This record gives sequence, C-alpha cells and structure tokens, in this order.
Amino acid sequence: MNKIKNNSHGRLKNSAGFTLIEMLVVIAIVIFIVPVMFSVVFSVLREQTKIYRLSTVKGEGDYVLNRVSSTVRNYAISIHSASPPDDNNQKCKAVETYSSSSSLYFQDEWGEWFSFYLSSGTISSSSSQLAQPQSLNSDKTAIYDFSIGCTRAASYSPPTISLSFNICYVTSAGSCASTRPEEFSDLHFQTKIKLRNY
Amino acid sequence: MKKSFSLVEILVFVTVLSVFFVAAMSILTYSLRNMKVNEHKILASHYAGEALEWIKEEKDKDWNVFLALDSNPESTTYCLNSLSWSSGSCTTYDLGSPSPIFKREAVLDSQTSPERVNATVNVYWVEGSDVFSVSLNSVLTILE
Repeated sequence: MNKIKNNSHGRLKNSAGFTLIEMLVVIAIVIFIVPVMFSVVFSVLREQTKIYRLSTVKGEGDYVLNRVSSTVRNYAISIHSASPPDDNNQKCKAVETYSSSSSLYFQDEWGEWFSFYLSSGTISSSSSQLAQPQSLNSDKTAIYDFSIGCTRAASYSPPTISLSFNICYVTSAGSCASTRPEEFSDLHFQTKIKLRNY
Repeated sequence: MKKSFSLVEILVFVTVLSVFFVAAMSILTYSLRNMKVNEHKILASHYAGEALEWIKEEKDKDWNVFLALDSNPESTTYCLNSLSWSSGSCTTYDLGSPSPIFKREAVLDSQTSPERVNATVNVYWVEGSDVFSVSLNSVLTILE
C-alpha cells in the first residue's frame, strides 16, 4: 500500500494509499464505538460517585441515630428545653408533647446535663463535662429538617423521645442541591426512644 | 518500500483487538450492573431498618394491639410501603425516592410462652429480570 513513485513533475505521489471509502468506513466504525466505550466508562465513574456518597450519608446518619438514641436511652433522667436544666424548663414531666427543631437538654443521674442540637447543618453533642461541643457528622454531610422532642402519654409511663432528621451529601458550600442526579443523595432517619432510667 | 501488511495479518490484528475490547466492555458492564445492585442494596437496607424501627415504635405504643396483628397460627404478612399496617403482600413497587423501585413487607409471627413476636422485614426490588431482597429480623417482647 506504500507504493511511492516520482511523477512527471518530480513530486512524490502516493498511488496506493487507503481509498476514500476505506477511510470513511474506518472513521464511521470509530465514531460508532468510541462514544459507546466512553459512555460505559463514565457510567461506571458516575455510579462510583453515587455509591460513595450514598454510603457516606447512610453511615453518618446511622451513626448519629445510634449515638443519640443509645446515650439518651441509657443516661437521660429528665428532659429540658434550655440550659442549665432546672425545674422551670423541664419538659414531659406531666402528660405533654414537646418538640423542638433545634435542641433538647437532658439531665443524667449524677446531676450533669448533655444535649443534642442542630447548628448550620451539623448535629452536635455538648455536655457539662465537655469543653467543646462535639460534631456527630462530618462536614461532607448536612442535616436538615431536624426535630427532637418528647411525648408522655400517661403519668405512669416513661416519656418517649422522638428524633427525626434528613441527611444529605454537601455538593457546594452548604447546599445539597445538584442538577446531576448522581451527585444527589439524601436519606430520612427517624426513631423513638424510651427512657430506661426514668 | 513495497512491503505492506497482508490481509491475514490485518485480520489477526483486528480479531485480537476486538476480543480485547469485547472483554473489557463486558467486564465494565458487569461491574456496572453489580454497582447498581449494591447501590440499591444500601437503600434497601436503609428502608428495612426504617421499617423495623417503626415496628418497634408500634410495639411500644400498645403491646396487645401489636400482638393482635398476627392472629393466624402461622405468620401474617403486611405491606409496609408507607409505614402503616395494610395486610397482605405488596402489589406495587412504589417505595423510594427519587426512583420508586422497592416494596417492603413485614412478616409477623407471634408466639406464646414466652410471649413474643418474630418480626422480619423484607425489602424487594427488581433489577433486569432478577428479584433481589434484603431482610432484617428481630424478636420483640413486651419488655425490651
């Protein structure tokens, strides 16, 4: 195919290269195959992002839920709406339903208090023993629609703490919104906790 | 200068190349399918956990009402797509957002001496022609 000869004008001329049809066929096949390959490769990458975000969101949500419920279940004695906890801000002492979208304080049997509160997309745990509040979720995720409250159905039954929140993966500066579906992951968590040591 | 590739050489080259590409593509699509299943498995286990948590709440509300949910000698199945007791198996896969592809069923089996309820939550979804499921179970008694 590389037959090269001098023509009458002394310039090089390629007389036996690929024909136009051959080149067109090759280019058509390449045009057909390359996008298919790339779309498969990019779907794998997209799926990987999605799974990573989903598992981060689920892991952190599970952690927050378990941490709050085990601490409250095992240590909370009385429920308060403000700090420092006293008789005036105690909630669910009688038959009552109280709910807050920001914070709830609990007193334990040693007279110390601890609380869980939401501030700028993070659930933090603070207590009279901690110098600094502790964040329960990382800055990769944001928590919204947070609600923590207590219900007491009867004066002989212990109060029940209800907790619910949504957790989503932060895509850009404090926002979870994204136009690309693979970047968006959002889960709802809720539970009810009966106090053990009431 | 006249030497060029023969047809056979080209054919062998193209065959080797295409076998390689087909293999690579099939591995990629297989792993893509697997990843999709895993993604749905994460979601399904979240929904199953959510339902089991809800069943525990129901149990805490009133033990006798909860116990009466399974009056059969065998187990009773409820559809829990929308966290409310609707008896029977689910007929539609309408759980999940943004893509509703799951259905969630609870099987309650109450037993005597000691009085307890075996609760199993199954979340099903269809992927291609296969039905996948995630199952969680717990034994519930009047006192935790």
